[in-house]
Amino acid sequence: MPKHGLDRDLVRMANQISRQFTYVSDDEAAVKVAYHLHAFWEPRMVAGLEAHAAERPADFEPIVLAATRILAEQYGEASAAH
Amino acid sequence: MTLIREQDFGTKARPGPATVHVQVDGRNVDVPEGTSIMRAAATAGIDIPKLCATDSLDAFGSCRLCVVEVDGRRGTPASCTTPCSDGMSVKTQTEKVQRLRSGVMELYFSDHPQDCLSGGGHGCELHDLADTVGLTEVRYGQPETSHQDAAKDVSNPYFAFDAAKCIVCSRCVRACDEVQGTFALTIAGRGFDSRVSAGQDQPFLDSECVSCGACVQACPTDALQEKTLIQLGPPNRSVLTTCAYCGVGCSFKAEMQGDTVVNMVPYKNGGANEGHSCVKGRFAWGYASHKDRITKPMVRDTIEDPWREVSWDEAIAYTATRFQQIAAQYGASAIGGITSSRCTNEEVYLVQKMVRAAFGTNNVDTCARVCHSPTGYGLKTTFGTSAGTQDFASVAKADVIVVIGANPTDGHPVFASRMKRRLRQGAKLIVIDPRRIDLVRSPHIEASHHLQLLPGTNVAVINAMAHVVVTEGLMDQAFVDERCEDVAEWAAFIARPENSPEAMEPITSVPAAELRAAARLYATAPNAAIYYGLGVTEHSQGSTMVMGMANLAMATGNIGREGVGVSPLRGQNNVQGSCDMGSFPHELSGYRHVSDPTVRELFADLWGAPIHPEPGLRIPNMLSSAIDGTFRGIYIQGEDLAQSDPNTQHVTAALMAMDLVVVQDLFLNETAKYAHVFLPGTSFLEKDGTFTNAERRINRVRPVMKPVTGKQEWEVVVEISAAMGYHMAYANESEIMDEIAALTPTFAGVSFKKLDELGSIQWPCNDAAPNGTRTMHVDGFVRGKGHFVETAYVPTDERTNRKFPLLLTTGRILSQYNVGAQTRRTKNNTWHPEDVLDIHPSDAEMRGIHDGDWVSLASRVGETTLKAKLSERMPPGVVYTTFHHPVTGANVVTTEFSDWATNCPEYKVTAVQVTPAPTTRPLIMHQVPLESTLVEVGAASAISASGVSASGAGASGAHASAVRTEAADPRA
Repeated sequence: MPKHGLDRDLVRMANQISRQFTYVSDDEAAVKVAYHLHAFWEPRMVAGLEAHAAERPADFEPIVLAATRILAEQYGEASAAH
Repeated sequence: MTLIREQDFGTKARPGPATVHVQVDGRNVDVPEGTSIMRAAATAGIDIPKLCATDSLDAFGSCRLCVVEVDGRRGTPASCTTPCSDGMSVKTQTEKVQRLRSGVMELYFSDHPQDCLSGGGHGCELHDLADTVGLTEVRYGQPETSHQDAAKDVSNPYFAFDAAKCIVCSRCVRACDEVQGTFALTIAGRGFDSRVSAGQDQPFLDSECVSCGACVQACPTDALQEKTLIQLGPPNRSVLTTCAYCGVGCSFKAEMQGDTVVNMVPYKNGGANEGHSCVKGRFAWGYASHKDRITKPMVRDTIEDPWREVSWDEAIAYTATRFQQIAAQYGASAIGGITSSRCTNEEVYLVQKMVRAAFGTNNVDTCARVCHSPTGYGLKTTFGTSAGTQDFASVAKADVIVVIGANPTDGHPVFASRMKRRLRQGAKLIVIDPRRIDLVRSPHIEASHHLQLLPGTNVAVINAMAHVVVTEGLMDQAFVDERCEDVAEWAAFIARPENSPEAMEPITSVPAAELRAAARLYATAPNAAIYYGLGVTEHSQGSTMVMGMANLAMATGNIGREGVGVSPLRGQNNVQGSCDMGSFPHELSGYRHVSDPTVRELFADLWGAPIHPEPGLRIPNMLSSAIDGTFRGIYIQGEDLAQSDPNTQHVTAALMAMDLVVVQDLFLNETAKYAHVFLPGTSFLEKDGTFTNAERRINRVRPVMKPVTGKQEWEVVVEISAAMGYHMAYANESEIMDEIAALTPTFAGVSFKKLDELGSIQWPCNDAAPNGTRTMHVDGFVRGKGHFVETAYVPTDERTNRKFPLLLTTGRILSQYNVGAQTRRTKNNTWHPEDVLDIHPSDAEMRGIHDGDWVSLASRVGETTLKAKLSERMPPGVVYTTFHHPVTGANVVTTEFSDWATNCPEYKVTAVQVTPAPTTRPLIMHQVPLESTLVEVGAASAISASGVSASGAGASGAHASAVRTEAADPRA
């Protein structure tokens, strides 16, 4: 479908971001991805990503899943404050 | 009321350390060595008569009017071609000289329309000089042969050439050569038969002339004259302002009769353009008074209703009330705004302030999202500041110039003229572009290397170039050791075999040997400069590529002085400014993240409103959220998303899903079809404020007339905010800039007063740089050390396949501008009345397509129809089109893929198929799951906007998606 909601964007965008950090270890990449999402993604996008990852983790690269865990652990308070 | 007339010194300045002392008519004057007598005299306040000389051109010495006598020298040398020597004494008004001048003028007038002798056109130097030399009669009588019956050439829509008035001084020819660099004119014939010839003795319109107007400006008679000047007569006042087209930001004198613009003359002291311009800025300003201009606010409850003109009070109250209702029901995060890169800094600043303080959200973005947002990300990450490093004049010191993903002769023509001048002087050129742009080979210019890469492989190429630099020992080790960090990690990464030119060749299609040669040329040049455009940024790795270029520049020490650098050719007149003003969901003005509590406190204190600490939605996220139902109201200032943003069907579906779409613009555009409120905006001729160009140069925009809408745009924003309960108070635009300066360290020293004093200011302008900053990162990077980033090449997800085997890339053309809202409403349609599809002859032949045939251009998201133009400028497998005409709808086929860091759309890489179209009239069809409906543009159609909204919103699966494509009056 040419038109689409945010959810489809989130999967595509998150996976795309994760593929940019192949030059570091997966752990480091997850940290970088988490930072990027926290710095540039609006809270409903982060929340949508976390919800989708919890429900359908197979849609995401492993680095994205690791990044969502870091997001919740390190930035969770800030996200919840929105 | 006065006309601004810049002094013409007759010949160019010759800056240099040595000085000579001369005396002209008894006045002592010191000038740099090499200065002409003419210029020295002008410096001393003495104007020597001249016709063939002007200080934008090299001296020519043909008219013989400027002859003088020099003590101790024989004869009467031309003062324009004679340099001063130390101790020289010059006489400019001896009896002998006056006699010679009078004789020369008499000869000129012997073959010149007699009416010029007693009256003349505006600024006719020949007429003025006749008075100066005291010429009152021509004794030659009517010669047997003359040029008085010479035909006029009125082919150009903007200026006329009357050969009868031409004195063959060659100023026009030299202006076309030296200033513009097109070489479209010559002097044909010899002796009495000499005549100005365009092209191969063709009408101007049929020749290579690009209608920049440099010849018109250079002409000392009325031979070349603007048609508006002929029609309206001479102006009587000038207003200095700035062009509203591209990111060059040319300064102009708007020359007026009352409130009527007669002509726009490039301002010689304009920092960006120094007296030059292009066809758009100089001539295509008529859109400001076009009949399509909307001057009254309009509202409607639904987009199916006709528009209703209302008062400003009603429109503002309606807008404010609706935003408040939506926010109350769905939360402040359900509303937001988009600012324009065509509006002033002051206007943009206030819209983002309204969104943050009155709406209570960071859901504000700007059109830089779809063009140079990767520049902001990439240069901030590597250098520490989201802007280019140089000014335009810097190119004059470059020894090697790299142009990547840009076509400056079309997109930034005045800067291109500077670049071409440097190339003609011997600088080398490397072009990295899938298309053979004009710069690859044009008069007196040929690229040393054209790396004709496949679309989507920029990072592979730049990494391969950097690989050469590192592995062949071409790094400027002293520079990187002193000024940069993370060098070793980056060098180890880039040296890997997979980054070599040989490994990348199958991916990029660039021969390894060619790439190695180009890399060596760049790395070994004393000064090497990179200029780039949207062919870099509008990719899935746009930000990565910007960082890759920054890596290359740092690795070779090409940062921090003139002649080097990394310079984005920013598209719009104020896209730099709209970014500077914090019109981003994650940043406040000066590129400071909203999460920084110190910055938020600064704004909150001055604004009296809290700033949200989390980033807001970007434009693509706003649209997707609208389809989800979580984003429901939008304020769109001067942007036409429905034409300019990718995947048109997605955009229009999102707009239709919203409860409130407010459009502030000059004309009803594609986006306005989906709007509930239309607030008429002001053109640049009515605005009072500033634009910031690609050089970080803040220029004044001064009004030549009152707003035809009755209000300045910023006043409307202030009133909407007030109606929503947030009050702002400014007496004028200068006070808005004062607030910007108070809050933004890079603007701290900027004020309207200082801009009037200095003419323009390049930020940063603060205590450390009170007059602004020409070149960035001179002694150190803004972030401290330059940061090397490992830029792994990741192929785009957009792939060709059997169904879509070609790659589409898009771009601009000289005569039209962006979505064409302005230029389509001028005579520039003469040159580009429609978008066409450039296709390689071999691709066309395989498909049975001939030049001029209608073709269907289809991608996985949509299809459109346009005419084919066979061209070898692209390699086989790549097609190209522009996006200036809504009827073509080029963005119907572009996809949702975007830059990983910024969501800048990947306009430059779309997998498509091209097939002969079964019809002879243009069609736009959106791809649908089960059935398709063709809608003929211009034909009566039973499908209305209501049909679109009913079928387009909500339902998934089978539905007919028929889109009204004709820009019919929605008020009908």
